[in-house]
Amino acid sequence: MKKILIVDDEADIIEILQFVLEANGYECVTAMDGESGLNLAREINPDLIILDVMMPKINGYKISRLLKYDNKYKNIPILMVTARSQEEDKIIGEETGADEYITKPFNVDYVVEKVKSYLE
Amino acid sequence: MAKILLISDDVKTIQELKNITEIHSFEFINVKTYEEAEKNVLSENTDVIIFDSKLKNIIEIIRKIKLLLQTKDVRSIVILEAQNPEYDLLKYTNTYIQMPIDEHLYISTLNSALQLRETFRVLSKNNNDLAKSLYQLNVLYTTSTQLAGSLDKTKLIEIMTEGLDQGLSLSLSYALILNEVNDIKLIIKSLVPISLKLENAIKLRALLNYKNLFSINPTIEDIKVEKYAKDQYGEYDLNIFGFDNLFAPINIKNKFYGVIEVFRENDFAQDDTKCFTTLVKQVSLPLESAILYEEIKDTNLKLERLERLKSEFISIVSHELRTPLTSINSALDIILKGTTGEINEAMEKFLNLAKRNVTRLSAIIYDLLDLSKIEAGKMEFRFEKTNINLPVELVKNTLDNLAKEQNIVIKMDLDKSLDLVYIDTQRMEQVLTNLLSNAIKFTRENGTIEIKSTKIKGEEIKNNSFFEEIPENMSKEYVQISVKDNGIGIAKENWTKVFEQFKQIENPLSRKVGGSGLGLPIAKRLIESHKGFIWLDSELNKGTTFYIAIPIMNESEMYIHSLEQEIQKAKQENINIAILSIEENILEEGSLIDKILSEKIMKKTKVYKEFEEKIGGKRYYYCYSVDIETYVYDFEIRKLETIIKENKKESPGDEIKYEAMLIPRDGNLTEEIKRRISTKGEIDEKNINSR
Repeated sequence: MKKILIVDDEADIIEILQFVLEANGYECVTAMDGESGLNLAREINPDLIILDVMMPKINGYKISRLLKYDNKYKNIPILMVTARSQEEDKIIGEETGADEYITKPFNVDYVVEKVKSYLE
Repeated sequence: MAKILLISDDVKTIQELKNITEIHSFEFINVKTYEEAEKNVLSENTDVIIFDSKLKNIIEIIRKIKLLLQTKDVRSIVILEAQNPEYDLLKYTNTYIQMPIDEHLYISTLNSALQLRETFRVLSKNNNDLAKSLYQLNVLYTTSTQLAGSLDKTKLIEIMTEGLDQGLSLSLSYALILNEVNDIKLIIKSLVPISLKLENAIKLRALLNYKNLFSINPTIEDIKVEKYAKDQYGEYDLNIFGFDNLFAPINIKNKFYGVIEVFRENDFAQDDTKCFTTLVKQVSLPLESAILYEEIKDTNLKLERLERLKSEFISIVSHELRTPLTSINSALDIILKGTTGEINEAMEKFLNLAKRNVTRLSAIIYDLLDLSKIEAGKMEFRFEKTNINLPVELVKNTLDNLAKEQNIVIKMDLDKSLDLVYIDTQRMEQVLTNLLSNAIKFTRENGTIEIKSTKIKGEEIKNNSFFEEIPENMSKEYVQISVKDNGIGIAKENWTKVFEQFKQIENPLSRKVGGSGLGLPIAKRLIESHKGFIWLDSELNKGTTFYIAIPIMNESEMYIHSLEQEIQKAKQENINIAILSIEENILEEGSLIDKILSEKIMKKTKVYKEFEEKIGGKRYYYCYSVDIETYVYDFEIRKLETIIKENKKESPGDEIKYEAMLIPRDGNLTEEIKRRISTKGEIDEKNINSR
C-alpha cells in the first residue's frame, strides 16, 4: 500500500484528506506542524507528501526545499496546499521545488486525481 | 577745532606753517616720515593733510596715505617748490600751495578745503542713506521672492534670518521656533562664534521673555539649539546684550509661533527698524501656507494608509476564509458522493443547497480578493499579442452547456480578420465569462444571446453618450466584443451603477441568480488595465448589450502602456519614479512617450533633469531609448547603473529599482532587440560590489 504523509495545522483538513485518500486505498500518516512533518518525512520516507504552506515552526516552503535538495528524498512528489493565490505561489514555488500547487478552496476529487497521477 | 597734519622733514617749512596755522587757531600736527603719518592718520581725526613735495618718494607717500584715507573725508594739499614746481603731484591731491608761503592765500586755501569737506560730508551722507535704502529694498524684494518659493518651515525661517542679516548687517540673530510641543528650536546666527555662556544666556532670555506666550510650559532642556557663525575667529560673549537690539514675535493666524531677536553693534536707525518689521511680517504668510501644506500632506498620507489597510484587510480575511471553506466544501462532497453511506432525497436536496452556497461564497471571496488586488495595484498582468476571438470561443464553449440547460441559444459572429491585440488571456477570459454568464442568468428560457467581434474606430467610443469623460489619448482603432441578450434589461439610471462596487441593482432576478455583485466592477477595472472600455446599452424588458473595446496598439505603445501601469503601481506603493530618457528630446512635446503617456502621469513623474537629484526612500528608475543602436543602449544602461550605484552608496538604506527599455520608433522590434529589450534590476549591496 502506498504511503502518503499529510502535513497541515488544520485538523479538519487532515481528517477530510485522510478520509478520501484512505477510501481510495492509500495509507495515510499525518502531522500537524512543520517540524514533526519534516521528521516524519525523513523517518518513514513516504511515497507522496501533501503539504500545507502556512504552518507553525517550519512552513511548507522550507520543508519542501529541505527535502527537494536532499538526494535521499528529492524524488518524493510534493503537493503544496495553499490559501494564497496561484501567482504568488508560482514565483516562490519555482525555487522550493514542489511538484504541484493546489489552492484553497480545493475540490477533494481534484486532490485524489492529482495524487493518483503521481502514484500510478 | 580743525586738525591739520603736515608731513614734512624740512625744519624751516614746519616752523613757518606751524606759526601761521596756530595763529589762525587750527590744531597743527607735524610728522616727518610715512610711518609716523600712517600712525597718526589711523588714530586721529585729521581734517586736512599737507604734503611737502621736498620729501623723498613723495608720490608713493601720498598714494599710500590716500589709500589709508579711502573711507574718510580728508582734504589734501601739496606744497610745491618755488622753482620747478612738480605740477604732476596735483593729480594726487585736492589742491596746492606754493613756496614761499603767502599767509593770506594759505589760510583761505585751508578754509575752502575745510568747507568743501563739510559739503561733501553732507552730500555723501545723503547718498549713503539713499544707497542703504535701495539696498534694503533690494534685500526685501529678493527675500520675499525666496519666501514665496518655499513650503518648508525651517527653510522659511532660514531665508528670513538670512535676509535680515543681509539687510541690517547683524552681529547676531536668534529665532525661537515653536514647531510642536516637544519641538522647540533656537536658531542662532552670528558673525563670530558664541561662547557657551552666551548660548545659555540666550536660551534663558528667550525662555523667560516669551514663556508666557507659549501655550505649553517648556523647560530649558526642551530647547534644541542650532548655531551658525559666519567667521571662525573671535567669540561673542555676554557683551552682546549691550548691543542695540530689535525683536518681534512671529505669529501665524494670530497664534504665537516664535520670536526673532537681532543684535547689532551700531545702533539701529529708523529705517532699519522698518526693514526688520517688514521682513518679519513677510514670513508669516508663507509659514501659514507651509503649515497648511504639511497638514494636507499628512491627511493625504493617512488616507492612503487607510486605503492600503482596507485592501490588506480584505486580502487577509479572504485568505483566512479559504481554509474553513475548504473543509465545508470537502465534507459536503464526501457525503454527497455517498462515500459515507446512503443519503435520502431530502438530505441530498439540502446538502446540494449547502454546496451551492459554499460555491457562491467561494466566488465572492475570489472576487473580493481580485478587487482588493486591483485596488492595491498588486494585480499582475501578462500581456501577449493575441487574437481576441480565441478567448471568446473558449468561454462560449465552456458556458454552452449552462445555456443549453435553460434552452438558451448562443450565436457567434466573429470577424476573422481582426488585428491582434495585447491582452492577458486569463483575465480576458474572466471578463468574458462574467459577461456571458450574466447574459445567461438574465435571459429567459428559450432566449438568444449574440456574441460579436468587430473592429471599430476610436471616435465611435468618444461619441458614445455612455461616457461622461473620455481620456484624450485614445487609440485610433479598437477591437470590440459585444454580448447581447434578450433578458430583462437595465433601466438607464442604473447603467453606470452596475459597474460600481457593491451596488447590485434591485431587480426580481438578481436575488434568484445571486452573485457577489462584484463581477462587473472587476471586469471594468480589468478592461481599464488593458486601456480599454466597457459599456452597455439596454432597453427594459427587451435586453441588454455589453460592449468591451480593446485598443489596437503597436509594440512601442504597448511597452509604454505597461510602463504606465508600473508608474501607477509605484505611486500606490509611494515609490519615487525617475524617468531617464536616453534620447535627449524624448520627453519633449511631440515625442512618442509624450504622446502616449497621459499628461497627468507626466506631471507627477520625475524626469531626466531630476534624475541625479537625491530623493530618499524607495526609488524606481526607468530608462528609455528610442530608435538607437543597441550598443548605445548598453552604454546608457551602464551609465544608469553607475548613477544608481553612487546614489546607493550615499544612502545605503534606500530601495532602488530600475528598468530600462528600448523602444524603436517605428514600433517594430527585431529579434536582436527583443532579446535585450527589458533589463530589470534591483540594486543591492551584493550587486554593487560585483559590478
